[in-house]
Amino acid sequence: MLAFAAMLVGTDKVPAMPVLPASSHAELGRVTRLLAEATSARQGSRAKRMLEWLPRRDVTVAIDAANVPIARREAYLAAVRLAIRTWNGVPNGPTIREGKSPHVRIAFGTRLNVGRDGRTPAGAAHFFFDRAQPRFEAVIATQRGLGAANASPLEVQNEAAAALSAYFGLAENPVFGTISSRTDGPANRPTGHTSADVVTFQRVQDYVAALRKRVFAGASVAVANARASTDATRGTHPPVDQGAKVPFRFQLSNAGSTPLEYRAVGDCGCLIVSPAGTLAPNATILLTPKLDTTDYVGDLTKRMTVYTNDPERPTLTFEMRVMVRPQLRWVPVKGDALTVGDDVGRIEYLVYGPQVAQLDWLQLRVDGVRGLARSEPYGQPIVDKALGTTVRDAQARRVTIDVDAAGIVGKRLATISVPQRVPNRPPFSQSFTVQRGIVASPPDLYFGVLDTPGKRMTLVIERPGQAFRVLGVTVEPKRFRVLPTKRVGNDRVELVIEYVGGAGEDVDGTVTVRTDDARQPEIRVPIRGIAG
Amino acid sequence: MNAATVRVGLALGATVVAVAFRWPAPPPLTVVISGDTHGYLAPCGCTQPMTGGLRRRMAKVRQLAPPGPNRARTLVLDTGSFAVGNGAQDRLKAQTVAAALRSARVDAVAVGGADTPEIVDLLGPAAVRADGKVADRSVATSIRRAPFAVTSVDALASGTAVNQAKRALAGATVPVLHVQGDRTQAVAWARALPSARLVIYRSTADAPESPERVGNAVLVHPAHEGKSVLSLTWTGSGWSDYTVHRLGPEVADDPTTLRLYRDYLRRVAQADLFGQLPRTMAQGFVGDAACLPCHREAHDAWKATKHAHALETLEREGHDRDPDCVSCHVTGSEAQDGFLTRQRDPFLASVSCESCHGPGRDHVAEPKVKTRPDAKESCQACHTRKTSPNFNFLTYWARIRHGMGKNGG
Repeated sequence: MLAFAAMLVGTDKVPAMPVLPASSHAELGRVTRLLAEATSARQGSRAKRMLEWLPRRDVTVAIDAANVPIARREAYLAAVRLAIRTWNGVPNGPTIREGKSPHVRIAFGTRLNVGRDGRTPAGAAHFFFDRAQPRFEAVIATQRGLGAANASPLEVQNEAAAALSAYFGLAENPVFGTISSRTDGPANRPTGHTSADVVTFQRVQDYVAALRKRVFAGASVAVANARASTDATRGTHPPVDQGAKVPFRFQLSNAGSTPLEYRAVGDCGCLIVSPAGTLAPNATILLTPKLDTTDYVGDLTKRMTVYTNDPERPTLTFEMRVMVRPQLRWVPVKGDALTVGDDVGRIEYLVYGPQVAQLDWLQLRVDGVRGLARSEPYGQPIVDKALGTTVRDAQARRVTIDVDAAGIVGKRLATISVPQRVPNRPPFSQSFTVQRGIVASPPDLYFGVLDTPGKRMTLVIERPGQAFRVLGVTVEPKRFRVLPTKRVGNDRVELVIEYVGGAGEDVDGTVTVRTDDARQPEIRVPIRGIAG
Repeated sequence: MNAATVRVGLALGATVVAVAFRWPAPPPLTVVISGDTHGYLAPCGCTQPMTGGLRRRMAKVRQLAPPGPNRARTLVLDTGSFAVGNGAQDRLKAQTVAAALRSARVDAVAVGGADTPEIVDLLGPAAVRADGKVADRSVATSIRRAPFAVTSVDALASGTAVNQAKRALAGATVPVLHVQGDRTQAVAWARALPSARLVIYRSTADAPESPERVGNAVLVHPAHEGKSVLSLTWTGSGWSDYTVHRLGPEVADDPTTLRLYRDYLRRVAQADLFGQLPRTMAQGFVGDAACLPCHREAHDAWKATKHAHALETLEREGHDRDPDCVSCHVTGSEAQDGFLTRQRDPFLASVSCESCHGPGRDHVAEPKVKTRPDAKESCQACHTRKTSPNFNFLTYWARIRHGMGKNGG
């Protein structure tokens, strides 16, 4: 009997029970369970009928656009056909045709109901039917969002592509932005397949083929009983220097009785993970993601998501945390701003980090202002408030910059920099400001979008410690006005500039403040805004 | 017909009417959460598809909270953290983000000590902080839209801070906390303020697939560098419909934010921030034309690669004067004789020979003086795991293979 069945399916041996692929749709697991029940009850005919519920490679699709307003119907039909063409273009992929007696029906509805998971489907609802033909139906919304805007043809195309993805047994995958996990949204381009999608498609097809052979051979079908378990889902590593590749270890075990398939995905290119594997029953492996800290400083948290074929725990999330000490850190002794009088002003920084010794300190230089910079070893603890740490570093240096006040009027941005000895690397640098005389803050007034009248920006005119008077303020263009001036002490004046409306185009204007200082009789502050 | 029959008839009639003319349920109360820009106004990197970016983010915000009668039922929050430093470009970035948030009518933005009074002005009434002060500007202690009240708190859940937050959120059915700290601090806040129903914090990780629960509160964070937007719905007794909206290329740019972004690029170029970057002393860059006479084959092979057109890529996108981008698309920008402008340095306006082999002046003058032997090491200056996660020397080398013959090609 078994030999006869094998002959029917054109093979001479019954394949082993296949492993349910990771990243496959939950429906595949459900049908496998029903097949297991049928085969264990020796209901061969029923099991064979159930095979029709599994995704095919040759698929007939019917598109029902009856619910689409006539004006949009042609565009939506064309969009669905484009999605079909996309799937037909997958290498060794499916063959999808339009026709009667469809396996897949794609229809439209104005609004979609809340699904069994309590969520309102973003743009399409998918239904798997047990008995009726067609096996799979997708209903695509013709209106979307709270504003009930008409779905664009591209949105319809993407929804149709996603629906076919569900039919072919691909699970939602929210990490890769693929058609099987694409988020709802206005679409300006069609989504495509990733290589992961293509691999999953092929593995689902192989799985289905193996199930088919087993059922026709009269062999039983086993329910996937993989059970993922782990020792921890969070790991914290002691502090490291920037650039280190930080290893983490998580145990992944299979407490079930069938193989556990898993696929690991990091949430950052900086997270190096071993992508995928299969774990035999009762086996344990170590997942060893590595976090590359080259591009980060401070408290760093990243996540690895592991997708499995365990129906109870289809995803496991592992969180990794480490404090990354910067390669080089500039810590201002008394802030990043220096106010100078008529002679020399001084600003100081403490510099620490493993990179300090690699720098060419003889080439320390100041740009933006005239000044002299020098550095010397610094042996005291350094309090880095921004990172919330106190550091002791034998390589640390104190950098002192003596700024020549001559020639400085208003506020200047300056830079202190020191070259690295490594090729192709820019100098390490730190910016600071130097101000002398009367200064406007901010140095220009940016209003953003000039969409609503009444938008206000405050302009502070000050000369710390030295009294001065504002003699008058004018604003150009007249789309702005100055509200009554507020004087704070005798060295600071606050001006509020208000947009009064009428800007049909972008605005480049100026606030002119006249003062009683002969050296700075006029302070001019640019205004910028873009038309609303 | 007696009274009981009439009552039954009326009741049945009412049921039939209710079934036939089902009243539409009011739209849900939705909270939309974006933020943690961290200086990433646009997605950065060499890998497709790139995710995130302010333009997509604002498009998603406008889609989830469109103007109209239902807008009042949606609360849009932003976690702040616009830029990472205090330099000139950081200021322009923060301005642009604040202007975009205001334009998209974001309801509450968590501002902190790092935000300047200028940014608070730009945000307008959406700026919120528990102690009511940012620099010298007063801001709201809470933003209220029944049943929600939102306040922002510092990382540490100290006694004083908790009392301030309690006062700011008093009377609200759904108190919402913006914690300017990480998960550990968010958990501490959820425990210290058990009335909070939603705690938003900052993280360098991607947004989790499901929110964490601590006591009565749900803890969430948007993805680092603005790569996603969250939404969740208040049902009257709890949260549902938690969704992470990833900002892939399928999300179209928001037109207003696109204009703000172009204006940002224009101002970056106008301020000549790239030209002001600190540089080392001259190192001897000579440009690819100097290599051509002796290394014609290698030069021809290079000409056919993307490296030879690296700056054009930026020029098409308007980033060709953006200090965040240019150094990896030209040659020698770290040195005074390296790339400054295309007009001045046409032979350095790409990733050319000297990007990997080092300055060529000495080698051109005397061919016996060899160029740098560790050209292979140069790749990782730009192809970092973050910007080029798929980088693999062997496969990438195959794309630019050149100069293997005698005399370096």
